[in-house]
Amino acid sequence: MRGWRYGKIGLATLMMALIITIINTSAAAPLDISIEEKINTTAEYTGSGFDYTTDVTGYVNITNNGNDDLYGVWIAVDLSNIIGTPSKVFDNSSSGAYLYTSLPSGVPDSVKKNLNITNANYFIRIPHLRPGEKVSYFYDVDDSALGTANSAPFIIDERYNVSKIPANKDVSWEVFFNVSLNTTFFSGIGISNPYVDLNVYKYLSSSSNYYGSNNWTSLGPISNPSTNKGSAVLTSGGWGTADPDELDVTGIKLNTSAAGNEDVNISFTVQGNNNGGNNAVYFLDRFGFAALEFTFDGNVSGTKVVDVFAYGNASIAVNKSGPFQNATGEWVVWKGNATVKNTASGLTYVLRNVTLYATSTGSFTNVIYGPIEEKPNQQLTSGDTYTTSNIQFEYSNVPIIWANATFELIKDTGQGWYVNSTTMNKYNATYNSRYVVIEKIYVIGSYLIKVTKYVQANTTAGSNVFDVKLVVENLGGQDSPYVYVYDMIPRNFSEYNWDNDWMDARTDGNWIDKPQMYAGNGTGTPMSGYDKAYYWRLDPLAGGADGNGQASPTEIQNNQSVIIFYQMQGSGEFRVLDAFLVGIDPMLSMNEQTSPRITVVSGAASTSYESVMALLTGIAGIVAVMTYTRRS
Amino acid sequence: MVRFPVSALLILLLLISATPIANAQKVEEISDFKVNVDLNSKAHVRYDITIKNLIDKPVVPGIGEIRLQKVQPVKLGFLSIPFTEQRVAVEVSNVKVYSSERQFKSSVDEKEGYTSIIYEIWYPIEPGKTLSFTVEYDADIVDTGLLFKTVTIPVGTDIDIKRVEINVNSDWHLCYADPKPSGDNPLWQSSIPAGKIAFFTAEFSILPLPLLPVRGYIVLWGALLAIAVVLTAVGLKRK
Repeated sequence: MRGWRYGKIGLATLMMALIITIINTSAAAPLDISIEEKINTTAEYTGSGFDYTTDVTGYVNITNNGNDDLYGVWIAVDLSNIIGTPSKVFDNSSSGAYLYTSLPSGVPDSVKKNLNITNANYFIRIPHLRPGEKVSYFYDVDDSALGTANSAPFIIDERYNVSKIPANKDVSWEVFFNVSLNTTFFSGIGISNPYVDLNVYKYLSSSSNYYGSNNWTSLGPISNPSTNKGSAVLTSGGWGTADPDELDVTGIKLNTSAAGNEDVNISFTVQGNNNGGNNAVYFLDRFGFAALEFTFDGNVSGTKVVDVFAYGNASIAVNKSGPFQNATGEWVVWKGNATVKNTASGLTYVLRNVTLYATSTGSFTNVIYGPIEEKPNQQLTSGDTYTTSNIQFEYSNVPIIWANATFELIKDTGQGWYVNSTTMNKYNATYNSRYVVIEKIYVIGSYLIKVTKYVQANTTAGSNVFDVKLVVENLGGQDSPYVYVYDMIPRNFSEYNWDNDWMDARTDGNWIDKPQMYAGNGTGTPMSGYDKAYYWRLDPLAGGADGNGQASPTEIQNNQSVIIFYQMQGSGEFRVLDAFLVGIDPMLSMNEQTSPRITVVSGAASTSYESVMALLTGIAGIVAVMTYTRRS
Repeated sequence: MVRFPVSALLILLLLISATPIANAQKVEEISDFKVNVDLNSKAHVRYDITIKNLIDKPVVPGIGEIRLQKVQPVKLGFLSIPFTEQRVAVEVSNVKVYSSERQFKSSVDEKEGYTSIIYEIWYPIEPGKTLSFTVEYDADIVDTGLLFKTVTIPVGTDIDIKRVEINVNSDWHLCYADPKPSGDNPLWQSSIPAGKIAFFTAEFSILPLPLLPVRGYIVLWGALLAIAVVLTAVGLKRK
């Protein structure tokens, strides 16, 4: 009778469901882990190049971007190039998040067996992460140890169509701004083929609070923008004195896949008037800055997520049947299996193992059969099930059959966990980025001399005769001192129609257009390739010439410009090209071959007090003699 | 070891800091700087200077300047009053600037607190090449006492001096030198970076004293003073 009843129960296939898992909703639920590093760089022009100062910080962000709850999240992270310990800066998770430097002793075997911890030095645990919840950890990259403290992802090259500008005058200059990938930087952080999205925001600034200078009485507008990548738009930034004072070049893509992709060339024209900084002779002054907004895949510090263990909603059911008769006719045979079902709406699991065992009804620790373990290593997408093989055993009473399963999220962008690593500029709400390039230009506070040389054939004067015209201008705001102009006559040329009187303007082959400005001349030692070297001394030039290389009658009349003229004649194998050389007083000139004035300091320092010592000795001697004299 | 004394440096650095020092690439350096001082009633000073062009374009030295300043105490008759040092211009005469081939234009300008010797060299130096020239002048820089005479020479520029040699000649006997001499002629060899000033002191005595580790006048007059004090003490005791 008892056996029949057991048989009925077995035939009815009693399903005992142990629902492990919890409520579920629907849709995809990837566990998103992002390593986000931010670069804060200041690149400042020194006069010959840029000095870079870089600070990199990073975040590990863990976000439930899907619609399924996540449980038992463990993340093993390799954070080896940081200063100090990561700190939690955001956490709205249901359970809170915890950071460990090693796996704690209470970690379940299912995690220990399945979580790869090779090279991991930090472990993040989040027991429960609901959809939309996020946890962020911050870390500071050890820039000095990485060698990036004085380096940067981009090399800046900025040039101007003039090397210096005069003070106290409305001037304009063209800026050639080149940004190229620093392949040394990228290869140093293990990125051999960087792909960078870049926006450049160029601001004029007459404010010392915003990388500018208060010396500008006017600064702006920017005009004639041009770029060979992306698109350039003029707008108003707010730190110049005339709009548009901002140039935005957006949509730039840089990479190393082909020649020409590594850099962007931007040019524009700036207008301004600098008051000369209290009449300093010359100085390097700020006129604005560029903020670089960028992003690229990978990170600077080498931070890696080694592995992730997490799971979502699922169910497990145990099927038990019996009793059945054994070979001797006894009703003691029991059978059972387990079915695991993925009940999440948008997650895919890997089913690592399912274990079945049986206990008596009176004591759950009294295992009467098993455990029997299966290792399916099978993926279960949403709604999929897996049913184990039957176990079979003999037991004279009613047993309880148990089952448990280990499963984890797959690594997948749509159905599991995934790691993104991105590096970008540190954000600034005012000017978009804390990757700042400070721009400077030399300002001549007092005077600025420019010389322009013209060489032109004069066929009416004679065979192979050339007119040489040197136009000397003072672009500055103040009178110059005496100006020296020097020039050399190339080999196989000789002076033509000279009478060595430079004050007879426009009468022969050598003259200065305004004799009153002539203050002497002489010869020097030419360089190789040249036969003769001359210099001319001119009276101080008044400031205010327009610097266009053409001495107008007004400028000559006002002593702002002077023309030195001579003729030369070539013979044999002469090279006219060699004539395109001219020099001026190297101080405060527009020319590149500037020689700073050398100042030697010497003199004397009086360090002897022999006279004082001698006087004291003399007095002491007299006292000694007087002492002896009185005694005798 | 060349010393760069802080207090004196601060004083004389004012002479350098008053000149514009560009932040740009180094254009030139003084590759060789020989200073020779003959101590007579006035010192005769000779600089043999070699300028090297460090860039890939020809450069012209143009106008150069030598600033001379004397730091000395206030004198009451022949007595130097301690702790009254003041900076004054140096009285300079017989200035000549020349090379082996030519004379260069030069002038002397006495400013408040220092003297400027201005010279002009309008000859190009080709890339990597050098130009040598000599500056000579007489100056009242000798500190002359009864038995000793001393000269302390500061040297500095706004560009690097790769090699400096300094020698001081006198008929008297060298009894003290700071820094320690590196030889007989020149007395000192060193290098001086841009913007720094080194000080070289030599003391000579009419007496045949050996080279001493401290100032000769302190040793001699200190000893005599001590003897006088002892004799005075003994005399008083015998009373």
